Amino acid sequence: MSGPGNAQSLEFEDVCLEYAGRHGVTPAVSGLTASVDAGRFVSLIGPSGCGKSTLLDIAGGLLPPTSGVCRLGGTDVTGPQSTTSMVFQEAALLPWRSVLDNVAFPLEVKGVRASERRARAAELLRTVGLDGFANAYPSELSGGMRQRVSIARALVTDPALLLMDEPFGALDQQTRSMMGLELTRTWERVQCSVLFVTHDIGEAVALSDEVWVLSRRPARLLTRIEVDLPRPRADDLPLQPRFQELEAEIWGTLREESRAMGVPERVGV
Amino acid sequence: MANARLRDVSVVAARIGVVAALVLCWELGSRSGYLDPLTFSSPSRVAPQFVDLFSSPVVSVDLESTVKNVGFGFASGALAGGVLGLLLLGMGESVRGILLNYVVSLQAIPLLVFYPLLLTIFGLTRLPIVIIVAVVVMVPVTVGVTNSFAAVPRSLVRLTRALDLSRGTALRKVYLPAAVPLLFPSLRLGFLLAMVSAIGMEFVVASQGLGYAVAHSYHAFATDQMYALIVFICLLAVVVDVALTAVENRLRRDRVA
Ligand SMILES: Nc1ncnc2c1ncn2[C@@H]1O[C@H](COP(=O)(O)OP(=O)(O)OP(=O)(O)O)[C@@H](O)[C@H]1O
Ligand SMILES: [Mg+2]
Repeated sequence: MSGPGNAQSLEFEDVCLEYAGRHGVTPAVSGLTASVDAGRFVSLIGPSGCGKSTLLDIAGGLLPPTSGVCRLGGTDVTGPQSTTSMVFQEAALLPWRSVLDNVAFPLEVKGVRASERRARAAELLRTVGLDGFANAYPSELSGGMRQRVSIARALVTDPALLLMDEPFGALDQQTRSMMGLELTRTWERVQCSVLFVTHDIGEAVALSDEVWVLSRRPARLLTRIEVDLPRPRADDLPLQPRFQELEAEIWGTLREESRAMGVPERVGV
Repeated sequence: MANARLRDVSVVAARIGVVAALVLCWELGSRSGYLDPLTFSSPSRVAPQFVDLFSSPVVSVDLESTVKNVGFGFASGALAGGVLGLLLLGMGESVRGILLNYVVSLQAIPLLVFYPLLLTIFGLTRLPIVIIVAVVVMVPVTVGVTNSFAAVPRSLVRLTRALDLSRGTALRKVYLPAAVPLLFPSLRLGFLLAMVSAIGMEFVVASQGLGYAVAHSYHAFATDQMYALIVFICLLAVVVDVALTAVENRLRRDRVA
């Protein structure tokens, strides 16, 4: 079950989720079966509001599925796991803590000694290229830098699984592609399993080993697309014909899905 | 860094300068006869009184009494406000709104009118004053706790869940510091209200305390002593305010400009 490093596999088996709200029941995920093999980078893409974040919450143990099971490394996920880290769209940093103390926070609440956790946090800051900013405060950083701090914080516990919910969604296009490139570099070194939500097809292809295309709500798996581009990924990736083919394939699936529902062609934003 | 220091120093210097100028005007006004010396006294006559204050055991009794009235009143009021605020947070949004309205409307009542009632219940003790001070403090603290915790960003709430923090750890390490910028002004307001209401009540109903001492020297035509006390109370208020600011900045170091 374990791959390179301490990566673990993530399996969804016939997972359904229904939100019980004031206006009745909202099905968000219906009968999804799929797995992220240990050490793989998988992207989730699908129409807006189809249930991507919901699926991530299930994987993170924040939301129990209505039926079906979610397993991490072969054991059922019943609550938040210490081997799972999450990165959200907002960096969710603690503004009163320095960058270093933010990165060290997960270790601090686990009771790791100060010297040890600071050394480890400093190491992660180097990994994300922020070694000069250990003593800065989040308010002194740009949006992209803040998100790098949040990624460092997620990696500081050496997770088996990393869940990322549109981590670059709030960044401008240029920063976004740069951050994507950096994330691949970082990930190629740490090698945990990743489930990455995005609504950017190019980003999904560029980063992933595999892309799951989801249907409109409630989310079903439409297709799994194997990204057979060699790693480490080249800088001129978007110019390669294979990259464009894969992009077109995902685009086609999403377009068909929106046609089937009789809505104008638009991919989730 | 050096520039910031220089700026801080000049700000302090300017503040001292303003006070010095006012004192000078006071002195000149009273010497030249523009200010009636019997009503307004003058710094040169107040200053020796000020020195005397500290050597007289009477004032230390008054000071102790005021410190106790404010201290006990503030502490119990802040505690009650904190508990009430957290209880309100646990309720649904609409219930919270209704109950919070009741708490806020307490502020509109001149609580001093309950003094006779409290007096008959608790007798001629410190308690009636402390209770009224506590209620006065409780109002802004309750509102502050409820609003500041409700305003903690959702992303931080998600973080505490993803990290599986216990309630206590989440409160201590995330919610409390996140709430400080909104919470602290209400604590500060509570403290200043505590001082104002305690000294005000001493003025009217007590037989001890700085407020009582001011009233007493007024009735005894000891104008110089009265001004010495007023200056002392002003200084006390400033010192407390500065101390509170220092505490606030320590709690949220990122906010120190
Ligand atoms: N707490 C909730 N209660 C009721 N319904 C919810 C709740 N959270 C989400 N939903 C609904 O479930 C559906 C899926 O939500 P989810 O956030 O998982 O979508 P998403 O794919 O992440 O969307 P986006 O692309 O906008 O981020 C949405 O239609 C949403 O309205
Ligand atoms: Mg989402």
